[in-house]
This record gives sequence, structure tokens and C-alpha cells, in this order.
Amino acid sequence: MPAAGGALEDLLHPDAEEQEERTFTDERIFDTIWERAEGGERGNLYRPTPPIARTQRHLFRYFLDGSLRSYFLGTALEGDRDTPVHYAQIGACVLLRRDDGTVQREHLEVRHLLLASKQRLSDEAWRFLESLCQNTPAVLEDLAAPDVISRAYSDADLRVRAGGKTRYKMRELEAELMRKVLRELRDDCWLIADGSLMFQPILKTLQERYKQSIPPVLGVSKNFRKDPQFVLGRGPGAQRLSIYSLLANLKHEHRTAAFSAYDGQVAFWYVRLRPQGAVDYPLMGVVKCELVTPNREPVPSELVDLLSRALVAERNVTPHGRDRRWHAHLYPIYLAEQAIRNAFYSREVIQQLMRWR
Amino acid sequence: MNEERPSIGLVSATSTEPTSSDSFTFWLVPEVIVNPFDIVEAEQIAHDGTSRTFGVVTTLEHTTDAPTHLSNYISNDFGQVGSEPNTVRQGTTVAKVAVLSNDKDIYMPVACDRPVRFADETGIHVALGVDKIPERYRVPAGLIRMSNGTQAVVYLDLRYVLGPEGAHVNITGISGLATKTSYAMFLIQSILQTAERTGMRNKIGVIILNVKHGDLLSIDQPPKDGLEPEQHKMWERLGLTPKPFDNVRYLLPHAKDTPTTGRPNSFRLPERNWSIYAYSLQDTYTKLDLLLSQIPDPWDTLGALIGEISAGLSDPRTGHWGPSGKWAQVTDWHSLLYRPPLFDPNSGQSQKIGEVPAVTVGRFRRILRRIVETRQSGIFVDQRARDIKSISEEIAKIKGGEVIVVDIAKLTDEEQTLVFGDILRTIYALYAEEGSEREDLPQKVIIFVDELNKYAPPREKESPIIEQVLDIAERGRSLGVVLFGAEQFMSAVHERVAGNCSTTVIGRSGSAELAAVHYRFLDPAVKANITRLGKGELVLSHAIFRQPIKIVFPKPAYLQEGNE
Repeated sequence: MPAAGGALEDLLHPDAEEQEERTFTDERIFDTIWERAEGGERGNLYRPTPPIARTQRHLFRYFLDGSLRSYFLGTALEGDRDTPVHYAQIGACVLLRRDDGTVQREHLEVRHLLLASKQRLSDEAWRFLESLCQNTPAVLEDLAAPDVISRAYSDADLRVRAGGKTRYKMRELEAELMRKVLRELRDDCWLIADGSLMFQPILKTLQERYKQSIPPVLGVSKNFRKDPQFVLGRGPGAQRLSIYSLLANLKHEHRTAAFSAYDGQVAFWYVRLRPQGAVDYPLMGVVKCELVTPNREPVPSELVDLLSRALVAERNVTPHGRDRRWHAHLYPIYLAEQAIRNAFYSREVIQQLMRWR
Repeated sequence: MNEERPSIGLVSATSTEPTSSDSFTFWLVPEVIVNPFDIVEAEQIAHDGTSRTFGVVTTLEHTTDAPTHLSNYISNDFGQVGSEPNTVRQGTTVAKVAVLSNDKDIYMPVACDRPVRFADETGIHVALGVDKIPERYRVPAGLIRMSNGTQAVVYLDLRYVLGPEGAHVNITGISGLATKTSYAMFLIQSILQTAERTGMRNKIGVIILNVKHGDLLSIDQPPKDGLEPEQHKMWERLGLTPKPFDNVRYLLPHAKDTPTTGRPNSFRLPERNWSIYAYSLQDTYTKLDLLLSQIPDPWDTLGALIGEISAGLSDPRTGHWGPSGKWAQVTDWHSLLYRPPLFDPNSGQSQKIGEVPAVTVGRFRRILRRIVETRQSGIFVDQRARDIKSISEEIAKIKGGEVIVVDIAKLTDEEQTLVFGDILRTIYALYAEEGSEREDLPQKVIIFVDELNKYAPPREKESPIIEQVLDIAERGRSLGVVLFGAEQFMSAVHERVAGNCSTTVIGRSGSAELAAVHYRFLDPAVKANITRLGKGELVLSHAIFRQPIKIVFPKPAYLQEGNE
């Protein structure tokens, strides 16, 4: 039974990144400041991070992002069993920024998936779907197969679950491209990856490769969970802050202290890129940064400062007017996303590829 | 396809801006410099392999992914002019191209992503259709200079300049850039040298009217210090020799004091080969309509009187000068004005002539007295001395290969109109009425006049001088009489005169002028470019070119005022 219009584009989940974050860890209370200054003293809750421009120190040179576009093609009916059928394009891109500020595409990979639930179909029907993929770039995927992201999506509604599976495959592709670029990274040549580094193929890759040192990869999330609580101090004098109160007091060109997450495997903090007066509400213009700490040791405050300062400088230029997340979006990440989306087939092409009626 | 020339960009077709048979757009490789009027070629399909579609760049635009100016403002730290963005905003310069031609006559729209290159000289010739002009008809008209340093000679098709396919050249543009007259003189020199190469030099005569200062009164003398080396190079690049005109004859106007000084009424005296012309009544009685061309005559009363005078002063048997009967006393300007039949000295009143009332005769006398007596420059004489020439007689003697310069710079407007009209009428009569009885009559006559708007203004009511110019503009092509006109504003010239020119040359002009209907053949982008043309730069539109092009040309190689 075909979808209305032949192929119906799936709308993206509005808080996909935020929802995804919940799937990696259940932690909501963070009480460990996970950074140490050179002298050994603990840092303040807020630290100034005036920008360090590319022209002063070109630190972030690689940028990684993934993107997807998914269509609901229709429902496959077999007797009294049925499964939604989706066609998804997933892509990941790494951009390299030259010293003059222009960018070039370093890696771009786009894959096509045909998604259906294997357990809802007979072997014969599954093979039919496999045959449909022949002479097309698509690979058949079981959308009901469990994975770390899909589990956060509804179990009952397979159409919603297809969205989770597509996102999982996209994150896998991102991890694949990250592995390709890791050998190029050095202390003065960092990669910014869009989203959380807690996604398992990525976290594992970075931990295994870097063992005792901090990988030169900074995860930057535009959207993040709004339910964490931060506990500062011990005992009865401990201060408990919601993320709202933590970020409401975060000034322009400042960062928060870095906290420990994922059992000390990840350090994260928040950076305010834009003045509060220039955006609509306090959480806008703030990004969440993550570093993987394979040795489970606190990160040097100086490194967090340096990364934050270089990150503040990334606020210009912005995709304002092109992306509603412009206030927290990094332009090279936006460009990587555009490169992927420009490589996707149009709806018309997808319809021609999948002529199954 | 010439692979040695690098691609400077790729054709870009979008859903909102497709390519077409007439235009395409391409984005530019960073660092490549392209300017309006550069000629480029794009790879195009063909029945066998590929072809080349040529076009001229009309506009360049830089576009970025910023949807609004506000995005750029925000991207600079909310309006900080000193901030430098970490990542350069994505942007590209796109060039819009008007298609000129395809070397295999394929006018399919150019496909997206096809490579674009600067055209080379051969390509430029194909683009303009110059390759289809037989060698003997190619007249060098200037140089195209492109942004990548490529130069190409632009040729006009002689058949579209001197006839029979097309004729006439109009040159327009604001004054003060020393461009219009210089270009006309360069083009005439180029035509004469081309004709010399093909053995046609003796079949072309040239009449030049000097309307300003002594600009054109030494065209047969070389510049005192010669030409600059770069000007020499340009002449040579065009395949021409930088030399002054030869076989030049100057006709200079009679001054009030000529009888005593022997000097003409000119800003300067040519070194040689000059003579003085003047108008007696006998020379002028059939041309009084030209003399009074600029006088409003809505009811044709003056016209009727002029007809009476002309008939009265003619010998009815021969049709030549021969006042008789009541006109017998009229022998010169003074007797025409103050003796019968126009005037009765006894009563002191103007007289009725035929059906023309006395009041009209009075008006005629007042106007004529002003023109030939009180405010005349000196060219009206009672009787021409032996050595004083008649313009029409001198012009009628024109020979092939000869250049006649007629100086009218110091004459009044009415006198200038009379002289110019006299020349046109004489030439027209030679070619249209007498046929080719004279064996040495040149096949083609070029008449160059600046300030053409004075003689052919865009008025609704026709006048004798406009009719004369229109005759030449509309019939000259087939007769071999070619008008080279120049003026500051083409909008101030009669539309039928400008419209009949198969070659239009435009120097820098204001945007208000370019909004006139005369320029409707130009693309808006080309008009914008015309407003910023530099000295010595012109936009050339020729019958065989699909689009106007920008050219430069060398300084004329004769002695010019101010360079002495």
C-alpha cells in the first residue's frame, strides 16, 4: 500500500540529539568537576573564554557532521502481517578548513537504505525486498533490529522506530569517517564532531586509539538534555543547580567548569557563544562540549580554556536565516551538512528507483 | 576544444535561472578575474563531438549563502567591523553571458557544469561572425582587450558600412573624452587603408565637416612629436599604418575681412591646399529653404515665398540664375532685401508677392537681414571674387581617393545648416539625379559631421534640412552616399536617422540618456556598463554582431590641436 504521493518525507524528530543523549546514559546528577588547573587548584564554576581567532591560532581544522533524509514509501502487506517500508539516505562529511578560512571537502560518503521489519515478513517477502534493492544503491536493513539509538524510539510504532534506525546508521557512518580522519589530527589540529561523543562506536574508537591521552576531537552539541542537575560542594552546604540556573548565569564568552560523565570517560562543559541580549532566551547561544578521557582523569583546565576560546571564535560566520539553530550552529558544520544534503537524491529520483507497484 | 586554455568556471543552470538559447550563467573559479564585455566560450554538444557556444559577459554578481544582510551583520559579531570570521562565508561570483554564436550553429541551451574558457582571437572572430566576412571586406574597427590579456582585432563588414547591405555610422557619447571625432577619423582612415589594399582607394571620396576649433584642419600633417610607442603598436596590431590623411583639400569660410587680409574665417590655417568659399545670392537663391531651415514655418508661408523668389530669380528657359521682369533689379543680397519686388523704397514697405501677403514678406526680410547682414560671419558676399569658391561647385568636383574638409566651425547655426545642407543636396543630386555620368565620380562618398543633432533633431515637423538628411539616411545605402554622424546624445537625433545606421558606436553616456528609446537594443546590463566607459573606450554595435562589444582604438595619426 503506497504512501500518499508515492514517497512521503519523514519529518525529523525536533529534539533528536537531545533524545539520543538520553539513550547513552541515564545520569542526571553531575557532582564532579572534572578538570584540574596546572597548579592543582580547582577551577571556578565559570571561566572567561575570550575568542582566539583562526588568524591567531588555527586549532580546529576538521569538521564532521552527518545528515539523513528518509521517506515512508508505504506499507508492505502480507496476509495479516504488515511492515512500514522506508527509504533513507544517510551521509557524513568531513570538511578541512585551510589557513585562509576557506574549506574543502575531505571525505563525503552517502549511503542508501531500504528499511522494513524482517520479523513482520516471510523470508520470501524479505527476499523480494532484497531483489528490489538490486540495481539500486540501497541496502536492505531490518528496522526492528535492536541498537543503541532505536531503543529510545517507540517499540510499538515501527515508523517511528525506522527513524531511530536511520539515525543509528548515520551515526555509524560518522564514526567510520571519524576513523579515517583521526590519523591527521594532532595537538594543533583538532576535529570538531557534531553531536555527542558518547555514541558507542565513536567512544570506543577514541578510547582504543588514544588510551592514555585525550583525543584531539571535540564533540559539540547544539541541542542537549535540559534535565541534568549539577551539585557543587559536599554535605549540607552543597549547592544544587538546574541546567537553567547554571546557564542563566553563564556570561557571554565564558564557559562552565567541566563535569564528569559516563563514569569518568567523558568530560563535558558548556560555552556561551553569543550574548544573551542578542538571542531569545538564556539557553540559546550555548553549546555543550565533550572530550573523551580514556584515562578517566580530570582534563587540564588550560586545555578546556583553549578549546573553549577557539570555539567562541567559531561563532562567526553564522548560518543565520538558513537554520533555526543558527545561534548554536557552527558554520563549517553547517557547510558539511549542506554538502551531504546536496549529494542526496531528490524525491523524484527515489520514486523512480523504487518502482515496486 | 583547446585544452591549453584553463577553464575559468562551469556553467550553472538552476530551477529559477535556467540557461537558454540566448544566455547562460557560469560561476567563476576563485581568483579568476572577468569583466563585462569579455568574450567567453562554453563547451556545447554537437552532432559530432562538441561545439563551442560563444558569449559576451554582461554582468557579474557575487552571491553568498547569507539569505539577508542581517545574516552578515550578525555574522560579524552583531556589527563589529573589525572582526574577521573564522570560516569564510560560502560565496561565488557568477557571470551572466549573452550568447553570440555557436561554431556549429547549435543554439541549444548550454548544459549545467560545462566548462567555460576565455575565447582566443580566432574564437572571438567566430563569436562575432568576423570569420564569415570575406577578407577584402574586413575593416579593422578597434581592439577587444579582455581581462586575461587576450587581444583581438574587431572587423566591420565593409558591405554594412558603405553599402549595399547596410550603411552609415552613428557615434554618440558625452563630449570631453576626445573620443567621438577621433574614432570617426580612425575609422575613415581604416576604411581608406582597407580600400587601398583591395584597390578601391580611388573609388571612395570623403567629405569631413570641421565643426569645432581647428580640430580637423591639419589632418594631412603628422603629429609634431609622433605617436607614442603604444599607439604605434595598436595601429600595427590592427594591421594599419599610422599616417595622416593624404590627398586632402580644405574649404574654409569667407570672413568679413577676407577681401583685405586674404585670410579665411577659421581657427587655424591648413599648411596647404586650401581655398575659401562664400555664398552670393546667385549661389544661394535655390537653397534659401536650407538657410531658413531652423525658422518655424507652420503654415508654409515662408516656404511659399522662398518658392516665389527661387522662381523669380531663375531664367525660365534654362532654369539657371537669371533674374528678369520685376526681379531684374535683384542681383545680390542687398538688392533682394531693399529693392523691389520684396521692398518698395519709396513707401518703405514690404510688398505682397503673388499670394504671399506683405506681412510674411516683412517677416522674411527681417529674418534674412539678420542672417545675411547683421549677424553673418562673413560667408555671405554680394559677389564672389574669382578666387573665392562655391561649395556646391567644389563638392561636385569630388574625386575618388580625395578627402575634402569643409570648415564651418566659426559659422552661425543658420550658416552651418546651409553649408551642410548644400553639401548633402549637391552630393545627393550627383548620385541620385545625375546617375554616374562623370567617370571619375567615386563609387562611395563618406560624409562625416559632428553635432548631427543640429541638422536632424527629433522633431515631428519635417524641415528642409531634416528631409535632406533623411534622404541620405534612407536612400544613401543604395546610392553609395554614407553618413558618419556624431553627437552627444543620440536621443537628440531623428529616430529614422539613427535607426538607419547599421553601425552604432557609443561612448560614455549618462543613465538618463540611455533610458531613451534609441538605446532599446541594448541590454540593461550593457547600458550600466556604458555609464562607466573610460576615455578611448567605446561600445560597438554592428549589423552582423549579435551583441554589442567593447573596443579600444588608437589615436589618429595626424596633427591635432593642442599637440602642436
